[in-house]
Amino acid sequence: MNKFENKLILVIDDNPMNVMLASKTLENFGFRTSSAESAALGIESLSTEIPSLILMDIMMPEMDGYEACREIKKVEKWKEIPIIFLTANVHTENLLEGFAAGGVDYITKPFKGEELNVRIKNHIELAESRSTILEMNRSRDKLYSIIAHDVRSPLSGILQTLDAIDQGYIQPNSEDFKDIIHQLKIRTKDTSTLLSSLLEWTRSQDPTKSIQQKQTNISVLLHNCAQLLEANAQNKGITISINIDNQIEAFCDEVTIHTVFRNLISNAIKFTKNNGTISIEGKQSEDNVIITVQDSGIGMSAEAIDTIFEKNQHFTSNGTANEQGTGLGLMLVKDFVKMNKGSICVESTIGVGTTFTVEFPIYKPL
Amino acid sequence: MNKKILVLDDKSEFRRLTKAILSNKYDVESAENGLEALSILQSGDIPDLIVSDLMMPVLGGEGFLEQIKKSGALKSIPIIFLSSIDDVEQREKLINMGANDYLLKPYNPAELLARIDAIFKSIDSKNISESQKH
Repeated sequence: MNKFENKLILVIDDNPMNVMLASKTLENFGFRTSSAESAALGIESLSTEIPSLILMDIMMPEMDGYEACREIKKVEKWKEIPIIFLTANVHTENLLEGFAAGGVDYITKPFKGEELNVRIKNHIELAESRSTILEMNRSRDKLYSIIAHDVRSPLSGILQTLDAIDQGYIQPNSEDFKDIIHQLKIRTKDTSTLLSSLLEWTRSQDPTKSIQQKQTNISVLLHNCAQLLEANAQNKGITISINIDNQIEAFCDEVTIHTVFRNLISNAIKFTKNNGTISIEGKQSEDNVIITVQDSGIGMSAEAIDTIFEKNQHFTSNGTANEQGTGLGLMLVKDFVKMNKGSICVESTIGVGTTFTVEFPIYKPL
Repeated sequence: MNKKILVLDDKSEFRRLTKAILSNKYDVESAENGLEALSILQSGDIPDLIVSDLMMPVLGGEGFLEQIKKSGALKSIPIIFLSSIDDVEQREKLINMGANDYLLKPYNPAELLARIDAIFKSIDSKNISESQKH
């Protein structure tokens, strides 16, 4: 089984003989194929399944290959599909027109199977690298937008305060001054936490730094996380209860999993009203440790649930005491759970509360 | 009697700070967002000027401005925006909608006071010239 196995190649050619020939050749190399005997039918079939690559004849009645290629490249969700032209002639101007229309390569008919195979694999690989890079760019943009929005605000608050003191508008021993300093301290502390998360997340994106999975006592870890956030919970009169057998272990990396539960518990506190409850439970199934973090908070709509784990969404909402959010926390949680070969899901009802369920393997997978 | 100013900002430290800066010269009231400010205004507590943040939950600065300008009783209250968003188009839009001024955060306290002062002076001179017409 190689990574190209089952990749779908769409063959568009008005000559049924050519379609059959190309399809059989490709299937022999392990690809899946679909075919269309006109450009219009080929474009129509894209709505059913987006292929990894399109092999397109140039000379076809009605819509020719160039025009079909231009049409496909106009559509946002199709424009990244690599298109290779099949052509009988190799006049330079024809080739140039093909590239100008958005084609990535051409193969002359009659083609050799091996050559077709290699070129197709190359272009699928290129297209996949391209999409990885685009995805990485989007993550980077997300980081920038977080920095721009959330780090700037407390800094400008500090600068503003210094200016006001400097110009004599606020007296350093006044009540106003004490209040503002107190609020700035809270904001600065939040920003500092945010910067730590940013740093942690950036590190986690580095594939050369692997995580250290080992048998980890989950009960100790959960109690530790809860203890760290106890002051936040007490501020809002929230009770945190933990119900887990103190022997329960999972095969995971302590540092990243600590971040996962710290974020889940701190979110639960954020979205739970004063005097609410948060209950954390851990149990074992045959192969997994299952941990739930349940709050009696404000809950989320179905649309919000869909967006919270989305990397490219700057999902943020303020907590019940107007706590600031960045959306970075849940992104970290998702990435870290995945790195530890775990899974996470969420259930929520508006006005009732939210439950996050996280599962990790108990033992090192064989 | 001091002139009255209403300050809108969702960030408590900024609300407090702007309030403290303006309190040296004016009577200041504050609100966390546009909706809270509207309810203050609807209760009949009308300020001489409004200083508002732009990005606020529930009802932001732009929506608040729109509401104010729709109301016959409130549309003449001058309004200055404070925002950390340095966007010319946004600024132009707000001015076109009827905002009197726009300052970037962090703002210089002396500059804010000077701009408020300038707005009050131009209103006063308009009032004088209008009373002389009669």
